[in-house]
Amino acid sequence: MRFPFWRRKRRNEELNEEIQAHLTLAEREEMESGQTRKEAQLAAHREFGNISMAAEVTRDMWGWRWLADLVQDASYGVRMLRQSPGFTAVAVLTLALGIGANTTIFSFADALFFRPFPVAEAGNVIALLRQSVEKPGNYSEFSYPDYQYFREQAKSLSGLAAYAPVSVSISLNGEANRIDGEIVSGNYFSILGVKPDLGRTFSDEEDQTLGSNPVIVLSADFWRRSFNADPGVVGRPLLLNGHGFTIIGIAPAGYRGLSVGFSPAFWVPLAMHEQVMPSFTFEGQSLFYARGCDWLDFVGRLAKGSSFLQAEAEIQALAGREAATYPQDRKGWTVVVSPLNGTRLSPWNADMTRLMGLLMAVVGLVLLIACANVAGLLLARGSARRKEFGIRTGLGADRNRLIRQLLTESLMLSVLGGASALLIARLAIDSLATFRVSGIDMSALDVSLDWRVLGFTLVLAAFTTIAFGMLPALQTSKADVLETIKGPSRTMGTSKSRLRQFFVVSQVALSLLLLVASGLLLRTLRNLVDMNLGYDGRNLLLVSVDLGMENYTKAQARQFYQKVLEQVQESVGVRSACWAATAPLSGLHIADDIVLESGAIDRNPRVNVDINWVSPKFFATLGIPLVAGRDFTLQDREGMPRVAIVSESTARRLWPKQNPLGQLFWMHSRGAQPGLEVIGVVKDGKFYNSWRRNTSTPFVFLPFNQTFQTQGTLLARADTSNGSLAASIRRQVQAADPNLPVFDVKTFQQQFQDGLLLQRAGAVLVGAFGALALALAAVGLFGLMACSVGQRTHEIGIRMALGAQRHDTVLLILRQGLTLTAIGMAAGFVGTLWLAQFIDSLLYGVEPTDPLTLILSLILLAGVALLACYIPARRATRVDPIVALRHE
Amino acid sequence: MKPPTERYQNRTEILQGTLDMLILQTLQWGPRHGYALSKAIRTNSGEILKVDTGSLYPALHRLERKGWIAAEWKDSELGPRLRVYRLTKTGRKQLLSERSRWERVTAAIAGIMNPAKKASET
Repeated sequence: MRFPFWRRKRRNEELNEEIQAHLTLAEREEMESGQTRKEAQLAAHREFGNISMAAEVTRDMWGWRWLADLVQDASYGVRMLRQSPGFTAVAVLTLALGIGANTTIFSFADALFFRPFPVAEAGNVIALLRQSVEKPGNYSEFSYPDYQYFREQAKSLSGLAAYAPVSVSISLNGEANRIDGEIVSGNYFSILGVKPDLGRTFSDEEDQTLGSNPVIVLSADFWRRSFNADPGVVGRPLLLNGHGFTIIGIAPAGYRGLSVGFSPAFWVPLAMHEQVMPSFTFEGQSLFYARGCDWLDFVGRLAKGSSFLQAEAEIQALAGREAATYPQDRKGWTVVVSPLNGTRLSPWNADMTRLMGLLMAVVGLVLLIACANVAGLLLARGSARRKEFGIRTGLGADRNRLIRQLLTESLMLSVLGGASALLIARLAIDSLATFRVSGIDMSALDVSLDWRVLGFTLVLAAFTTIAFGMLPALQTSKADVLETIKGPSRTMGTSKSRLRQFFVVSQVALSLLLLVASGLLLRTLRNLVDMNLGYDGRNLLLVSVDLGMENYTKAQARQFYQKVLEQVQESVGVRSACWAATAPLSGLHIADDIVLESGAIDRNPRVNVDINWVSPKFFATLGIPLVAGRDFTLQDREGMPRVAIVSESTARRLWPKQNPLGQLFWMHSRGAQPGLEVIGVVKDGKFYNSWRRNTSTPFVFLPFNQTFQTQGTLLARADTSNGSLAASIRRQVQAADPNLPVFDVKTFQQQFQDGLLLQRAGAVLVGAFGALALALAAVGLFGLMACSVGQRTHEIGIRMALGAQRHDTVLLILRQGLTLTAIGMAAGFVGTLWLAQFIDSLLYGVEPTDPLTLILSLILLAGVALLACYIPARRATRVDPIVALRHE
Repeated sequence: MKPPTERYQNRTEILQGTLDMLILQTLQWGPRHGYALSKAIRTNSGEILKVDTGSLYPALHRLERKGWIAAEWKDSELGPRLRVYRLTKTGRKQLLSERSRWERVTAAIAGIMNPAKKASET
């Protein structure tokens, strides 16, 4: 029978009564055998033994002991924590920062890598990836004929859907906007099991005939943002690139597509691609028939009864057969199957993955430091509470009970810390969520403190309780009754203080690691910012348009470009301006294969080159020196001889020891068209889509006016950094065609900085965590030294009485603290060698073992350590020998 | 200094199995209160087994929780109110099984202690 908790008290009284009755009976019997009352009482008691213990053990039998103990431990804990508010505040704050850092980074990592997509039975949904046989890290998309092939042939899949990102012009409130969405196969929603919040999604029939079903599904975010969540929009028309579409449904809130960080605003059927992506053609073929044109991503659902491995085997066999049938397009490629989560981040976001990996390691270290710090504090308090525990042991408390009470106190600290950590994480997430990193819009990430994050924080809090509470609890509970009675010992070298020293040493070592890591990242950032681009990036304005959205003809486009350029060039404050297909470092990668011999093109070795189409004065506008030959002119237009300008290193590589001017080459994809003649050579520079690409990658400039360019970026060099100029240029472009969305209006510097945002975020975050670690280590060292001075007051008093000078005392204390620091630094140095392999891929222009960074980190750490030791050392000199000795 | 509880618990461990059986066996002859129970065990064992009261009450409360014995308060002419324990039905069953286990164990121990005798018997 188990007694309800509320009946405990009565039950207790009854037990006492029962024991009392036993004693009374025993006493009476002893008296009957002729003893005096006093003797009888003593005998009865002697026989019974330890009454309170018998009572206690009996109470244990009721099964509520644990709860009673817990309540008692908790109320002790609350009392202790309230008794020393300073200690509590420092410990809770330390834990809150440590756990908060982890919660913050985890919530991002969760949104980026772990949280499953809101699709039905996500475990059965797989992604298909075209992978290079030779370089398994290289991936490619699929073409529409591929889609038909795999959809019909793959029996292990119950369905296969295709999707691709698109940008269209949508007029909202009278202004043309460029909006990102996705073009998807008709079965996309049904295969994923995504049900609309309102209206309906596509049917398979809507995706059969080119251009026949102009229907659109809006995302819940876009619907709320641009239509005020008006349920009446379903059935209404919407103009996309000037074509009338009908809104048929609203996707469920929280569904943001299958690419993390890219939130499509809408979905349209694949069969509408000519309207949605008019500028996207492949050698004059419709995308429906071009097998070599790769633009689609595939996602499929496993058929009932077929496994992932079966699907993988079948898909690979199908890919092999396709490669054999169409070698010119598919040779050297295979298709692999991946769980849906494996493809959530595009491969070129490897930087993001690496950075998150580093950040998770860094916050893990910060948490360890925080735990070591709190453990040190607890140990220090443990020595102060030795008397309390000694007395409790003397009164019969067993050691497990003491450990349990200490751990309860630790648990209360980490629960408080965890709760504060959630507040910190909330603030940190809000400020970090405004970041926009290359290809990942942080605000499009669903970063929130959901139950997954809460669970993570809870686990962390529990972990920290053990991590910082266990050793101190074991140590402190070893209370010695004799020592308590005799008075505290005065020696320092007990195992308890050695444990504290170990905690401080490990804090120093871990902080050195973090300092070196943040130093390396800061130097990387600095190298990137100071990078020699090969041209002048200051006072350069960028404005982009996509004429394809408004169905411009070749002639209209030429007229538009000319008109806008003339107007801008004449504007006040503009030194020169030009058009380019894309601005340098914009992230948009254009590349093609060239061959150096005409004729049998397929047999000649191909060279992959990066390409940009630029108008005359491009080089003058950017300040790129022309080394040989001439710039493009307005005469280099369609119908005239095809010409090209190459970079210096390209010329050296393609035509070694020859004059590059007058050399001919052919575009591989254009087949037997006339060759292109090299008419100029420019100095090398960072012309590429990313600063990451090395200047030795071949680069070819082609005339903007010689081929039809649907997308263009206007580059204007301003006299000064005039903020209003950008707006006025934007107005001029807008005036040339009010229906055309103008986008990416920014300075080149902004674009450059955007490209470095990941590096910047990394440097700032790791730097902040490094500073935090340093501060925690300093507090830990200070605490230890202050405590040590307190314990050695007696010794110092004797030394001073025997004639030790002030500086002797200072040195005595400093030596102790700095020895610990030096040991920690040595351990940290070994750690930096281990760190090197993780951080190498994130660095630019600096080695992971960079001596300067290491030395600066060591100096900083040593300086802080010196300060943390000096304050207690100074206090030691103020010891009055008389007072210290009289303390006996 | 060793925490005293450890020593105490060791002793109950040795006694536990048999003490339960002795209590059940003694209660078979009629309800008894704790003091009478301890006296009965002592007397019936010829003053050899002396029940440690520090183990008796925990054992009584444990058996009560298991439902093998039941307790009620009774007024006595001696003065104090007494808590009287009696055997329940399940307690009776338990006693039977404990007894047979006990007999098996003692027979086994006897076999080890007197091997020659056992061999000559067969």
